[in-house]
Order: sequence, then structure tokens, then C-alpha cells
Amino acid sequence: MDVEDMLRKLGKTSQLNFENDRVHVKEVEERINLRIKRKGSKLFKLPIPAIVTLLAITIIIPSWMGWNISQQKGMNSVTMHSNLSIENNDAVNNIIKILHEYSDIEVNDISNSQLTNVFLSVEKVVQLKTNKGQIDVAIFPESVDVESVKLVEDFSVPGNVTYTFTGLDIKEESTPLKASGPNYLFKKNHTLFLTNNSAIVKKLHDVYYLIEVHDEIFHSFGLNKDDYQYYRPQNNSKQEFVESENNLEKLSLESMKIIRSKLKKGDLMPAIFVNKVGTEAIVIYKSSDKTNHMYKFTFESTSEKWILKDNLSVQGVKSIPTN
Amino acid sequence: MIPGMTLLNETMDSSFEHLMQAHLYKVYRLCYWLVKDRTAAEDITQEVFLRAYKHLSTFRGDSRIETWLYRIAVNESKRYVRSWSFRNIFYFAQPVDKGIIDTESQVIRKDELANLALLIDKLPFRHRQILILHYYEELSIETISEILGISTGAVYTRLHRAREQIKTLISKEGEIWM
Repeated sequence: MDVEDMLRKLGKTSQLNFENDRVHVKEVEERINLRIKRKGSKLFKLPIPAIVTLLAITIIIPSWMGWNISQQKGMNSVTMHSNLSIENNDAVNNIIKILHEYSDIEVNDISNSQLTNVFLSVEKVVQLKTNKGQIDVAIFPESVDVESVKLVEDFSVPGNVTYTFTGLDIKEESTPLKASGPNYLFKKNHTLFLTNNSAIVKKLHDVYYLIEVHDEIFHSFGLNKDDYQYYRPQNNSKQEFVESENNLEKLSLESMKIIRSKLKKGDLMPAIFVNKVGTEAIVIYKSSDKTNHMYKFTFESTSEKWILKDNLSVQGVKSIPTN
Repeated sequence: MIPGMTLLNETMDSSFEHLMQAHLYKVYRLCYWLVKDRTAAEDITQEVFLRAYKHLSTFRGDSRIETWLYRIAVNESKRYVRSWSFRNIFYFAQPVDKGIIDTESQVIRKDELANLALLIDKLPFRHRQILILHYYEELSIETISEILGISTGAVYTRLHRAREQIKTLISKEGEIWM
């Protein structure tokens, strides 16, 4: 049977298999009706003048102010004071490396940020120009608590969106700053990330969560994460793994064969870390009950195979979010 | 099938009732095939119909209402597949392969089909969706083109590429890291 025939057969079979779920669909229908009754009670019972007013607020006024939907969703750009290029430093390099390893955000350029002269005790401020949008990064000394920092935005004057910060010492004369739409703040490890793209904030949140989990797992097994490099198959076109790509693909296949049957619904997906010379790999994951798991593989050059050398599990601390 | 213009002539609630009766099962089925998780498929289906309810009065009837619902379902499923939990948390493969084996064991080479279903799950969403719409849903190229908002030529191209990817995966004969 060729692929075309198999696909047709599979389609038919899948349809037949689904017939049993007709009863189950009734429950979904009931839940939708329930939610509509709840939802419908507000918007759909509004009098027409109120709906017209709502439309004016959500569509007409923003367009009159020169906004558009894409701007509202984060496509607007923060107004820049200058385009000076500035020197990089270790902390900035580390952020770029993290984004490169853990996400699809690639930093293309580093430039001066309009936050440069805003904070009193800041170590480094830069703007990262990435393939997903701009991120202004302010790195503070460890003694500065950025968790209490809040972004305060003012949309009250049409066409003149401004913002400032509370919870930190700032140079009053530098604020408020101008923007063409909403901004979003992400805080982590004495660092503030400011962007006009809400999707970037979500990605940063995910990236730093994964890093914390990976750090915890490495620590729980007494391993030094700095000795290894994170290998994501999605990143396999990136330079640093090109030479050993075939071996890493073998590692993916081999470790998946072993671990797949152990994984349960709700577990964190396994992550592969390879040592700097490509001879040893650690595959780690966390169960939904917080247990940390580690599989150690070594590459045998004679047989050109990855061999499982160790397999350990310990109770971890960090839990897995569900969204 | 309920023509869009007929719907506009009825009250919204009764139109919506008809809409659910006619399409809920197929939309839920499509969502399930796309995300391979019953709970997630239920949630997405609810979201599809809540959106449909909200926008039913603005439905212009340019396309069939089924196409419109499918378009929402595909987009919502895509959003789910791109979410953090889907990418980072392991989900048990639903017993699709078991079902295939139970139903077809007397007739077909069950392992081949079961493996093919698993291979489809491993394809990127854009290729998986095109195979599901064409082979599982048995939709025409024109309808798929309307649902995805791409030309019929692009549908043919994607279908071809998806089949090629399947052939490549089959020839590799092994598990591939997700």
C-alpha cells in the first residue's frame, strides 16, 4: 500500500473510531449552553445606545487617535531618543545566550535604550533588537529589589501615551517616557525587561521558568550545568551543533526510546544537555509529582552509539504550571 | 447544512442551537485530531462555539458556515499547540492507535496504520492540519483553501510536502524526538 492509500485508509478508520464519542459530545454541548447563558447576560442585554458607546470606545476613538489593532496588540514601537551603539557586557551576553538557547528569540543588534538615564542605581541598560521585536533591558545590582517595580502608563491624552516606573529610585527629570502604545514589563534576577510585544513577555516567562527547573534538576543530582550545553532539536540548524548533528540525532532517538515509556501525562518534556566535547549527555525531566529524573548517556566512538550509563530519580521542589 | 442567509433570518439563539446540532460533533472531532487530547479538544470546541455565538450576527455568508467554523477551530487549535503547556508538558498519546487496531485488525495491516497515525502526530502543525483536513475530514482542496485562507495551489503544495515528510519519516524507521 502506498502512502496515499494508507492515508485514505487511516482517515476512514479514524472516522469510524470517533463514532463512539457522539455521546461525549452532548456533554460539550451542555457546557457551551451553560457558558453562553452566563456570558450572554452582560453584553447581549445592553441597550443599543450603550453598544454604540462601546463601539465608539473600542473602534472609533482609537482610530481617530491614530492607533490601530496591530498597535494595540504590541506592534507599536517605543519612541527612541538615540541610535547610539554601546558596548556589551557579561550580563547582557548571558541574556542573549539564554534567549538563543531556550527560545526562538534571536538578538540581531544591541543599541542604546531610552531607559538609559531613567534609573539611579543601574548597572547596564541596553535595547536588544530581536527578530520578535525590541526589548529594553535594565540590569541592576543584586542589592536592588526589582520585584516591587511597577510600570505606570498614562493613556489619558490621545496620541500621547507616556509611562514611568514606581518601586525604584528614578531620575524625575527623565520621566515620563513616551510610547506609541502599551508596554509590558517582565522582572527576573535583578533585571527588568520592557517590551511593547506581550508575546515576548510570555516567552521570557517560559524561558526563565525552564531555566529554573533545569537548574534545580542539575543541582539535585550534584551536576554542574555550566559543563553542558542545552540541545534543542528545534535549534539544530544553529552553528554550535552542526558538526555533531548526526550524533545528537542518534542521541535523541536513543534516549526517546528509553524514556518515552516512562513519561506520564503532565510531565515536563525531557531536555537534552551535551557536554562541551560531545561525548556525554544528560537527559533530564520533571514528573508532575515534582520528581526529578536524570539519564546519563556516553558516546562510544567505536560503535558510534550513545549508551545509557546511569539513571537516577530524586524528589524535586519546583512544580509544573498547567498553562 | 444551514445556509448563512437563513441563519440571519432566525433569532440568534435558535440559529445557534441549529448550528451546534449540525456541527458540534465534527468540530470537536477536528479539534481532537489536531491536538490529540480530549480535554483540550473539549475546551477548544467550547471556545470555537462561544466565538461563533459572539460573531454569528456578523457572519456575512461569504463562505459556508461549516467552513467558517472549521477556520475558527483550526486557528484555536493552532493557538493551543503553540502554547507553553503543549510544547513543554508531555501528553499521553490518546488511544488512536489502539482504536485502529481494534477496528481494523481483521482487514488491514494494523501496525502500518497505527505507525502512520503516530508519524502524522510528529509533523509540524501546518502539515498535520492539511493531512487531517484532506484525509480525515475528506474535504475538497477548494474548501481547505477557504478554511486556511490560502490558494488552492498552496494547498496542493502543502499536501505534497506533508506526504513527502511522511515518506521520509517512514524510511527513517525509528522514533524521532518530539
